[in-house]
Amino acid sequence: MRCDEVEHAVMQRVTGELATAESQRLTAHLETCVSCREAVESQLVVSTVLANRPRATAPLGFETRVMANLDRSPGWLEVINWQRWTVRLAPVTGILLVVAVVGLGSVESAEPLEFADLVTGWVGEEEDGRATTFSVLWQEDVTDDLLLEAVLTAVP
Amino acid sequence: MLEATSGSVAAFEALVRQYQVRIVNYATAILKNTAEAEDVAQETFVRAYRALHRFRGESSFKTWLYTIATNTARSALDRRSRHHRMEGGSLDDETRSRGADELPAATTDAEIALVLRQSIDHALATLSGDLRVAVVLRDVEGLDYKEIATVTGVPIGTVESRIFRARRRLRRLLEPLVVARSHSGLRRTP
Repeated sequence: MRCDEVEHAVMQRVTGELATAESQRLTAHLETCVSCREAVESQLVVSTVLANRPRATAPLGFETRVMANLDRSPGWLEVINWQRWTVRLAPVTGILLVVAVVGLGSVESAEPLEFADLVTGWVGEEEDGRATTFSVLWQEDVTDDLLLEAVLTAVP
Repeated sequence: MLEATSGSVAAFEALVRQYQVRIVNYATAILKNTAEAEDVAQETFVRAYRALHRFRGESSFKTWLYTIATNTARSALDRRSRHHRMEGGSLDDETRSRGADELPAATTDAEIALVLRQSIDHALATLSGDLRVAVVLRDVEGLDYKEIATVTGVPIGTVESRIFRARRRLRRLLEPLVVARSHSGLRRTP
């Protein structure tokens, strides 16, 4: 085994992933190479010291302070979260679609309102006998009483 | 965890309770400065809360939290570095390792533990950020290589190499502690 292969071999051995044959080659190399042997010893010594490092504990009230500092209002990233907004706006979108369809239907059924049509309507109504209303307006011999009656009984 | 991701503050509080010691300990080992470490730990949880809806569960929550803590700690180190440059100071004074004869005297077990931890953190502070994060995640926090690769975003081979080099550099710096501990622990005042 070469010195530049030792690093990977040692790390593999620590996790138990080094094959037996490779492990034997590593051992043989370490018996003859002082530099690599020291490097491997360093691995053991340092990892042991660090593993026994006294742990720092969370200060009193840490959890309370974290919870108090949570910004309950969403951050800008959350505001532009399209997935969340898609779900939230789905009912509104549905209602708008229904209103649009119903509204368009009634608009399509309506015809443009022209003055000539209005007059035709009035004449038609009179011909049907359902109303006597506005035709009196262009009769020459109409009396004031008839005019007044026509105005008062006219349905807008 | 699922409750927390769906916005339950109570569930998130339980997560804070579960991970607070790990994150405070990790931040302390990376930053050395206790007050700064507590700020970083706190910011880590706040960032995690805000980003919870983006947690996909592709890694464990622990790994995800360590990733946020690592990024937050790196930002703090960058700020500190900029501050030192602006002030014209040197990081050498702060990151210089203590010799065995510089270990402060301690009287109680709690003081001994504190001195020991501070001495180790002094030694860790001499490493570059990449080496420090790798070796702390492995030897102090107990993450495996794959988890460390996920947290740091580098291949496992790079993780192994960083840990190996970090330990080699720390050996000389931590030797006084090994010697001190072998001689009835750290020095106790009579």
